[in-house]
Amino acid sequence: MDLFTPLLNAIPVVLTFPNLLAMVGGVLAGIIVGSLPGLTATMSIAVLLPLTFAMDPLVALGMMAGIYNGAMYGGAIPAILLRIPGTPAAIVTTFDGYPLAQQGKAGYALQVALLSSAFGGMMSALAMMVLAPPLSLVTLAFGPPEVFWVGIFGMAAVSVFLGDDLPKGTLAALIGLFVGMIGLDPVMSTDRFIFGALELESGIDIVVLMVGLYAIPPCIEMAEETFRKVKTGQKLEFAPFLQTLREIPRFLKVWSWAYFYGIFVGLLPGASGSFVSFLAYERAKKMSKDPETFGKGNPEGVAASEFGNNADNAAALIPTVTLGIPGSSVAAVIMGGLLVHGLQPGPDLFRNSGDIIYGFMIQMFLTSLILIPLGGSFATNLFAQVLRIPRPLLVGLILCLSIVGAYCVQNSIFDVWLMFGFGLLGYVMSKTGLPLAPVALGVILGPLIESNLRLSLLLDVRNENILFTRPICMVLISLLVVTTVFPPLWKRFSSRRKKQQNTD
Amino acid sequence: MKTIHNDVVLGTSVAVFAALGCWRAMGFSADSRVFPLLVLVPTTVIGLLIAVRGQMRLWRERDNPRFFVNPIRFFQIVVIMGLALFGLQYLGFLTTSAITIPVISFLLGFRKPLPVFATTGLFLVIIYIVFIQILSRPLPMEIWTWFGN
Repeated sequence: MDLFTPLLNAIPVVLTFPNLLAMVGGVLAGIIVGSLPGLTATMSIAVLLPLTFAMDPLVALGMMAGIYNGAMYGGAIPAILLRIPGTPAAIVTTFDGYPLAQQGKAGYALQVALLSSAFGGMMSALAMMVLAPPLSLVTLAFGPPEVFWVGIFGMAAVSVFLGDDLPKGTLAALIGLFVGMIGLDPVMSTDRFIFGALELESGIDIVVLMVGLYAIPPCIEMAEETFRKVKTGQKLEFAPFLQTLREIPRFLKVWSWAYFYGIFVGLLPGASGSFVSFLAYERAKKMSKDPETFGKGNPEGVAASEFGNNADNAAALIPTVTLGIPGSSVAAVIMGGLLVHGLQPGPDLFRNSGDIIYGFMIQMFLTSLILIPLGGSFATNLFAQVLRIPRPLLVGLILCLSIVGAYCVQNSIFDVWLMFGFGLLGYVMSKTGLPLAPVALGVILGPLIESNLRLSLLLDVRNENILFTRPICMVLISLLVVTTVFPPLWKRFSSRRKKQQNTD
Repeated sequence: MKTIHNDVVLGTSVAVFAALGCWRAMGFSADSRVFPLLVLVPTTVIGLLIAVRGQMRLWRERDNPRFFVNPIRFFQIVVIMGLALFGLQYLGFLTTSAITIPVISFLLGFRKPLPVFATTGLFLVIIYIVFIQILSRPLPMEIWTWFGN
């Protein structure tokens, strides 16, 4: 298929003033939010999504792309300066970033993180441009039984890969499917679980759910932990940027492996950036001539971690835009954004809204590129000061922003109460070790799974068991078995082996 | 030491609610009940499994992670959130925010009036410009506009 023509056609649309402004604004907002520990890219996109309602879809997507890429880099700032990962994906960055900061090389570590994040994001966007369009054509061969299994595969993969506990991951996914069921039945339009509340007939809005699940629990947790003081506001010593640029060849080998992991793991629903950065870090350590320096301030550790967690950014969006299966919680919110703007993921998105989807891929590339000037020495020094915002003040601001975000979805106070309820649910879930992403995915995929299951049963007039006998279905079922059965078995096997080694 | 494991409370509550959901789903038409039952029956089973496993962990390992870091702060913040949502209907968004942000800040220990009120003011101005002036989103009506009418 012709890949370049639609991309070239989308370039002029992307390079308009409102688009560029949205991308720059998004990157800045993303870096600020990402640099605040406890606030994730998912939360910032969810809270700021209502701002985009009145925008042109491409401008809205540009802002989301900017927040996403900006937040993934922003997470490295407190990880390096304070050993507190700003986002979950930056956990591995603390291993070598903080020791570098202690050696007085915080500025240098941030520059390595910045370059790795920017190049990781750009390479990931290129992979999306190459892989997403042909994959969207494959989905043309999918009928209701195949879509049903793709949905089940997405749910199962998220339950297995997210969190350490399979029953809890599965329970979170089932809770999501239940929440997705509230409202009118997609085929017969019978009302289900609305308990007389007419506002629930149209179902639970994904934005309300995401704002509640992702914005309220960190607020409550921050309020609970305000007695813990955070050391802030140090002045950073930066090496000349050109000097760090000259070090790029040193990182190329580490980046290549991080890229490989980022793309392939990113394609799997549920496998997150933190997993990729961990794999990339371990590989960099194995390849290094002096592995003993890892964990003590080796810049290659920072490069592997940051490149890895950004290489996963656009890759996680590939199943989202082609199959409608979000690969991560951020992808689920971005999918919510696509749906809000009337864009249905799948092959039709590439056919009917080519300018928008190809434009979005270019935006993913450009927002990674503009990270370099925006996250440069002066800006990073400035962003490091964001950590000075007192937590008690931040709690109130996020709470009020969440209220306005949930209200603006349908101008309904009922939605604000719902958001609050989901916030408490999210708090209980995070305290009891239930992952949040399967809930969001369940709400998105539930109606899709149910309607395709029922359509498949209606199509199966001759009792041929089309759900199990069609070739693509059989492939998907095999994939489902492989991804859900083997990882837990492998985990059990390796933990048993570790225990044995310890006792020996 | 707590005598009930978090997972026991979680699993039992989920199992009870899911079982009630199954009972409710039985009242739906034949087609509409299939998917709810496919979801809620395993939910009940997994809820029970998590509860049993939690109890066994408590017996075997005496492992029981703490639920609240600071229960008083939790209840304070939840009550304020509830009051803020209640106030939203009667006071309007801007008035409610103008009260909520300083109250939370003072309650959680940050009591410097100048930064608190300056940040609150700046936040309200940004919300007013972005949501009301630029995006024309109708926010809940302010109490002072009622007086004006």
